Amino acid sequence: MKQPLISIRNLCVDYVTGDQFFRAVKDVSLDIAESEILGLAGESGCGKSTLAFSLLNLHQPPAYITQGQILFQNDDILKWPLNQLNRFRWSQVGMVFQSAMNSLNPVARIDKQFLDVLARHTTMSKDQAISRAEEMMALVDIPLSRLYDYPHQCSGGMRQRIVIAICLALSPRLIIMDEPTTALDVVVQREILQQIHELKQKLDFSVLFITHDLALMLQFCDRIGIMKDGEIVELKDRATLYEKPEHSYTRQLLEAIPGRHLFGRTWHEPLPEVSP
Amino acid sequence: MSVLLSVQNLHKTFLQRQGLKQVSFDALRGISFSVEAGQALALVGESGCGKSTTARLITGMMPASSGSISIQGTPLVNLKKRRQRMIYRRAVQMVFQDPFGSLNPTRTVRHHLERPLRLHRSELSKVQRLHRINALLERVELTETDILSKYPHQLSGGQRQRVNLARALAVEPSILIADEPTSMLDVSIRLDVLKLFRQLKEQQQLGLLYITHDIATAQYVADETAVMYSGQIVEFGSTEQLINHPQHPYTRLLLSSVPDPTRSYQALLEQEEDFRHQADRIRQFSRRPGKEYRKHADNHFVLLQE
Repeated sequence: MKQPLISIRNLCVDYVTGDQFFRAVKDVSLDIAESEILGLAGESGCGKSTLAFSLLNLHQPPAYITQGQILFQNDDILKWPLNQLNRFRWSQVGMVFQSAMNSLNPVARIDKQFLDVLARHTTMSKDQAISRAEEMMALVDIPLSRLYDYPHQCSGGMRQRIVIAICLALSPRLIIMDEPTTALDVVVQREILQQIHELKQKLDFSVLFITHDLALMLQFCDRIGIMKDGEIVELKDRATLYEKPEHSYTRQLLEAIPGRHLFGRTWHEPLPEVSP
Repeated sequence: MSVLLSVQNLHKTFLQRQGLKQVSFDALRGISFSVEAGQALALVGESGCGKSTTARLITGMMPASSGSISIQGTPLVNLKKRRQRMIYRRAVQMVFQDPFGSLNPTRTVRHHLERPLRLHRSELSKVQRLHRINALLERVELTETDILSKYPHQLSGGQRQRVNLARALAVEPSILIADEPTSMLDVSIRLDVLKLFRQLKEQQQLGLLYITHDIATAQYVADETAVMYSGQIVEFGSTEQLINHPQHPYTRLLLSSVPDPTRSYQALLEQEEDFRHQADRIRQFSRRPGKEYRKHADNHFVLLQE
């Protein structure tokens, strides 16, 4: 395996309620390698988003990381002071949230939202920041004129690509994507994920991809971890997981994938040529 | 077999004000279909293609610009009298996408199931109502004890959607419209809920209109499928036939985008590098106004476009 970028060691996260606590992540250890796409699959409430939040130490009470280490270049980020953490967030590890297209500020133009991120994390001048924003928009194939639009003027898929572009503007080493395409329809979903793959080849970053859609994950990720009740019950590369699942829960998830009758069909290719 | 729901050449135009001028947007451009008792039709398409607008017109939540809708042979025209509206609402019920948002968070499951019975079946006594509620819960496979006294937040997404289904079935509708009933549920429980829909449709001879963006799930519920794009039905046929022999480029685009674990994105990138541009071209093509439907096979029609 390649050199790990981030290592999670024996992590436990608890939600404290009154005098009780609920352990959402139970003693999880996990490595994310350089330029790897790692998937975490599981039902809602299994702890996959809680785990992702820990990577940026973003938890707020009542959630507490009660045990474990998160090593970034052999340094435990959980011990870092806030100002060091703030520099680390976004510039080293970026995050695309669930329903990310609604995470844009509705009353600010898109260029402003790029400038915000770049002003906070870099020493770029305004002109430099704008040319960086233009570069990123070109990278995700959105016309430059869109930079001066408001989020509501863009379609859902476009907004999602803009969020990814903002996330990539600081060239992070890892991007966490928490259900990035659940609100989009399948064609747009495939367009975006295919684009992320393309960008990954160009820019070389790692991705932690979180979803409950195992079919999508099997297509998109290099390695996949299956989470259940706060634990990773199985962790394998995509082909092995699909062909030789060991845990009964993994098999259950695989059987529940809709559209099995459509897999590997020949009409997939080629799509018909049409003249516009 | 009897036709429960028939929709003829339905048009809907929305007017939007943009500054001083009014801009019109054609959400539906001539939609026709029918649903028979015990049959399910899937309306498949991306967000914004007009599938939910169709549902809203059928439920009478807003008027159509032109075209006709009839339920069991009775045309839906402006239902002015309360009595008319009640009869109509009893015949057509709907299950919504968001299982939490469509239940009142301050009310128990019992309230949600009792209210439609009180409104539409006022002749039932208290005991009869309770019997009916229990029968409904059994039908949607909600067998947990004390479920009646629970609040929506105490239930899982799948259970909430079952409550919604029971609520819709309480008044014994002849037509059930399900607008993306499983898109907010975990993939792992989607199939169970879809199978329940299918089972109920067959047992009670309901006409089911299943609205979805996920063509992969259509086969579990629907006998027939209509693929919509930009306010038109671009392809229509038996689900089996349509999925196995898709004709319209947009249908093929939809099918090629269904997540398929056997094809990695790495491979897709090499094979279909041009996918995004192709997708754009197909969308542009599919937006053109239609001329007529070409019959491809028995019960399989494709829209010919200009």
